[in-house]
Amino acid sequence: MGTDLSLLRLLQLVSPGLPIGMYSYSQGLERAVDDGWVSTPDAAREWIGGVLQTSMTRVDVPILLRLLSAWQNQDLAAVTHWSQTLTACRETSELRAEDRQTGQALAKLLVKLDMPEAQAWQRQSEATLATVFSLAAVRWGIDPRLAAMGYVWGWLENQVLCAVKLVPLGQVAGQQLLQALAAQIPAQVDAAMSLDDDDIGGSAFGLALASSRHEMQYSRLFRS
Amino acid sequence: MRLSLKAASFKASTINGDIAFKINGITQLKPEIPEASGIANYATPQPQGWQAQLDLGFEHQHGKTVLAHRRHLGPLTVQRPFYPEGEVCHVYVLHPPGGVVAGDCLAININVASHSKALVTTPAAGKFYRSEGKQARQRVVLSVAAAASLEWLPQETIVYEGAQVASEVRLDLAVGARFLGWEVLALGRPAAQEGFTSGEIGMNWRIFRAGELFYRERLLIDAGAFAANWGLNGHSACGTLFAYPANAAQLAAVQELIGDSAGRGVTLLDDLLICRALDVRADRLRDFFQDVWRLLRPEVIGREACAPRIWAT
Repeated sequence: MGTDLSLLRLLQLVSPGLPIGMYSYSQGLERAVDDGWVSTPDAAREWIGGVLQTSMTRVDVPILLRLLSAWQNQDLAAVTHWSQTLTACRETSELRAEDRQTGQALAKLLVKLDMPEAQAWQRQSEATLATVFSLAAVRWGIDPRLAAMGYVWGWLENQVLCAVKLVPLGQVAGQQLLQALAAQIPAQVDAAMSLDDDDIGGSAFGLALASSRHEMQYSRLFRS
Repeated sequence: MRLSLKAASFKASTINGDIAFKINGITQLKPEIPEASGIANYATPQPQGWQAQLDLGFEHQHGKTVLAHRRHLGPLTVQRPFYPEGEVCHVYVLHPPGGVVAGDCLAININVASHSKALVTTPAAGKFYRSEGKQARQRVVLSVAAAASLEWLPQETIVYEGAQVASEVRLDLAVGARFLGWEVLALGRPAAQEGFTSGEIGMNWRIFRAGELFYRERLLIDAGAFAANWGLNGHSACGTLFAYPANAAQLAAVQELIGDSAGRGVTLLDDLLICRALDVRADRLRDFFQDVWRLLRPEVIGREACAPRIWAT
């Protein structure tokens, strides 16, 4: 696998143009704004940066790394185990639904991109985005550390776009937020790489509460 | 003050019949000889802190639930069970020292066998005191068999500023088990103008359904997470309530109870209902959870609410 092509494949995988509907999920941010917890650029930075440090670094990335090596070793039992663990760490019904829907949507796409292994995950209730993302990263020869950084970048860009719409922030303020928080990603991924299985897990109480409150929000733009 | 008086009165009734001795000026109970096990593993006060353990086994015998197994090591024990509503066995877990200090390790194991119904609470708030570095640990393992029910309703845990706490709850639910439980944390002592600017609390919940991990929560609360909008947003009380099995109708009922009130949320993961709340006052949060418990108990446990009397005192 050429390094150049694998970089381009990673860009394809993390593009907001990837048709898996990421743009329709705010992960509780919509309710946090509605409740007045996030109302300024600084508060948006605190919220997104905090979720990056707690959930992303302690849940998503370490599990994604394990899924990457499970696919690499063709160990389907491990793929299932870590997908279940990731689902167990999602604290609300909307967060679980988001992961299932985006994971299944990516599986459908990958089947059309000549990855037949994705077939089984199109309707699997324990499909997560990381489950299927890691399959694509392995098949496209993307280095695991870069794949993890790309995964976090995709999440971050989407969260910032949500903040731009919801808080709202100006386009420039959004780019400043992206620039500041992206600078933390390499160190956060490296921290995640050194976590033992027993250390996996990171909940943000405010995020879980906002996401449960989003489920009963009267008027909303986002699905989570 | 009110809470410590309650704890003191229970200490007296528990001491009756047991041999008491003093450690660091605190009266402790000499542990009973373990009945079932042949291991003479007495808890002795260690320089690094108390190692206390309580094992409870509930069984259905002759039409009612009895506390069939009871074993304790160190300063953790139970009062004699009572039956204010007939078939459900109510038990108060007592921790005579009244607070947990650095180096202490408390373990509680509760096993509820098929067809038995148990309600476990505490007579007073738990307390974790300031530490100069060492952790205080608490590990709770709850197992509920098919057609059995457990209500795990401890009063709130007060964590003093500067405390280092590692708390873990593992809940094993068999197919057909029923469970209602909560955990309420009160950080610092707002009345004493305490916030939570130092200290660290690790809170873990793992829920297994028919042997498979179904829910995993791992909160790490330090000064940053206490103040942050994604954490406790400066609220000194936070709580999580679990109900199993639950359905969409019960979810809707709790949502209606919440209405427009701030800082309360509820979700349904398959058949596990999780209600979360933040408040500046732990007593208000506790009252809210008691309301949710009253609302859910008839369908989740199969009985009208019968509040333990100790809650009212």
